Amino acid sequence: MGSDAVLTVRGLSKTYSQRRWWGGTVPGIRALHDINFTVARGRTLAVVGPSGSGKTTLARCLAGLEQPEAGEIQFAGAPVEIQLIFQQPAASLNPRFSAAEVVEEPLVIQRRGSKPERRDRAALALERVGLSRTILGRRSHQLSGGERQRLAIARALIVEPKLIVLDESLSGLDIRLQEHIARLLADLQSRLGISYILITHDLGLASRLAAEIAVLDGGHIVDCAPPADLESRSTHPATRELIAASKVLAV
Amino acid sequence: MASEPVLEVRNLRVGLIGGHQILDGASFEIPKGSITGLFGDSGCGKSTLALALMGLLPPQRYRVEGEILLRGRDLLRLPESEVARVRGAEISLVLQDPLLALNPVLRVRTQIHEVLRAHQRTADPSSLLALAGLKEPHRVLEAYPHQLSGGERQRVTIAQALACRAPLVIADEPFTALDAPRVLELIGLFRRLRADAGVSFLLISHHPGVLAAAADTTFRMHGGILAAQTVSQERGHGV
Amino acid sequence: MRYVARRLMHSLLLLAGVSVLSFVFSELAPGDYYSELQAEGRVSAATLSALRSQNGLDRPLPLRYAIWLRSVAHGEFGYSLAYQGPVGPLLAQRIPGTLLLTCLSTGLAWLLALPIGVWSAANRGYQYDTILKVSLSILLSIPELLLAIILLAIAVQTGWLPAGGMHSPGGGSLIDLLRHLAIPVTVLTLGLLPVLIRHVRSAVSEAMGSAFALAAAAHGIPRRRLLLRHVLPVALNPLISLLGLSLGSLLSASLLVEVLVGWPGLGPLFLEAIFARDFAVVLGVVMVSTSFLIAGNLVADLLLYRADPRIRV
Repeated sequence: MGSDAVLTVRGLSKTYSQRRWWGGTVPGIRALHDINFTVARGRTLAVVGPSGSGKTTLARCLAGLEQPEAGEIQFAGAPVEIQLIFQQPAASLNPRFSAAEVVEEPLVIQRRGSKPERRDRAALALERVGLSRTILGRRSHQLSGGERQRLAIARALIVEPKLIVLDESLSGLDIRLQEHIARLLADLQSRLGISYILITHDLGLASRLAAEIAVLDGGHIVDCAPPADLESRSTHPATRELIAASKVLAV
Repeated sequence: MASEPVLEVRNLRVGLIGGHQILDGASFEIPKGSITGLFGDSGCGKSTLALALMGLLPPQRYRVEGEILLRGRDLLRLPESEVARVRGAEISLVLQDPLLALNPVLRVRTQIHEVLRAHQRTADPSSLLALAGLKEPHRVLEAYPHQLSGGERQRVTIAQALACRAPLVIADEPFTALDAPRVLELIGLFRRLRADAGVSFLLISHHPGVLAAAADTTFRMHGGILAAQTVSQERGHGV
Repeated sequence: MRYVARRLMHSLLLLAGVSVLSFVFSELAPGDYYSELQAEGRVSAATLSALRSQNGLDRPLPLRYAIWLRSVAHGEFGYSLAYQGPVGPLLAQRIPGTLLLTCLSTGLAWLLALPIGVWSAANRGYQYDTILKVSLSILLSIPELLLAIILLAIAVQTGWLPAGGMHSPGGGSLIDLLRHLAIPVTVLTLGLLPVLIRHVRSAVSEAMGSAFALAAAAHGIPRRRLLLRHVLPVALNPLISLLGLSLGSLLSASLLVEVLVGWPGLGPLFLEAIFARDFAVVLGVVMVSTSFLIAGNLVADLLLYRADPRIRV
């Protein structure tokens, strides 16, 4: 493991199977094949690919929500602060919690800081993602989809982790807001040295934020290069298709 | 436009009973055989508009006023039984979140069959899935929603909307989970359906670039009303 | 299938655990079968201790347990001091009665609760629904025993229904059986109904409010079909778990009702044995009840496995 690598993944594979109700098994879908990559400290790796390419499976394996059947995930140093931000923030927010409680939750779980301190940090975290303090008292169902997504990001940021895995976390946001959060994440990265694994289908976003882009297709990493070199170094048709289509849709 | 618009909305006002106003006099038209875009920030009421057009806002919670003329008939003046008949048959909706929009305990085959049955159609479900752009229709048909990827689920919901054979399809944020090549494919699909079957679309999205590529005209929703914006205007501002 | 095998294993362990606990509790409770005689004072202490040692009551607990286990293995399930014979046949004679009552009542309660609950969820807030809710609350607050007594009193006064027992002398036909079943089944069903209806209503309501129900409505699926074919299957998930639990509570209630109504099931046997401290019988009934419960929950879990594909991944 390189000295400044925060995460190393080697030979990761994962297959899903479905059982029939009388006991038999339907043959599995291979979601990930032999994935290898490293994330350096304070840098961003983007994993791009279409839906069904295995992106979410990868995120879940990284977060420990799924057990891969082969390969290893090594984090540098222990304990390593890792946070995962999901694709569907509404599902990840406890409906009985107020926004303040949602954001403070990681601190509460880790027993950090007194109540007023936590409140302050929560308010600060909210401001950072562009939400006003008035949100603090509201429940998640009273917020719009975009606000909920920002809340989930604020929650991850509050413990200032070393690595954040963002699984399509910025997809549902308005362009303006996406820019704002992207800038915020970049700012946090340069100040605090947080590493990101940005899982997204948006090549444009990946190009703006990441030091390196890994293209995932059908469970394999087919290309991996810095954004500027991706087009020239791409070997796989999926990558070329992605680049061409992104150009058409660019604002 | 020579022919009548497929949908004409006049001064639509939607508010929460005992709460704030969501739509405050929205007016717009969808010409027959067009792909119209609706652009707006999240939380501005785009989904509420879609539900209002479908007559799916519960009357106990929402106050709906104005005129919604679907092929000349005002939906807001029709009794619920008539609106139920119109729903799906003349105007259909693809919801925003495909995972939530599909029944978790029924197979895809059943869910498509149910829609066909509701409109007395005998089309082949796998052909509908193929039409919606799914590459392995047979595997998808036998699967349950949680076994499919996000993109596959979305195509299933599109297939369901197509099963209705409605002349107007409203798609609420259909592009959000898709990557660029798939977005282009979906736009191609909408164009093909428009050309072959004369289906008109109302595409709701918060992504201006996509709407610029997909729609003939785009309306911007802001402050409860709509204003028309042309394609070049979108590109220029870059929001 | 591995799942079923594993559950059966767990069940056996559970039964063993229950039997051990029961033995321990019997030890903790004061007195034994001969305490009555002792209290009466007419029998000499020497005779009493001879009786006790003859029946093995003076042996240490683990040994008694081992003897009981062996008896179970032989199909005798212990020895009843009151009936002077093996417990097994006593249980076998009474089980059908309780089984009939319990299954019939559970079935009827659910058969009624499902349509009423679904109707209630679909018609929330309307006049009739409010009337229903109030009636159910009243029903819920009436203790089952009171209900049984009221019905029995009416039966005695009017002579419409027999006031207890399972068969009338000279009877034995199905109609006769049904007439005798009427009161206990009514009491048990009415006791369970309010709780079930509430749960059905809330599960269906929740499913009705979800996005897929909205989507189905948007596709033009007619309301009735939407409710039955789309919403109900999803709502069944929590309800199937409830089925297993409801069996347990019904079982307890039925033992009491049987005693009151004079129905020849496990209930009267159980009560008698408790008063007489005929411990082997008590243990036998406890084992049977536990088995019922386990079986019921196992069936519920298997149904759930079948009904919800998300569990099977």
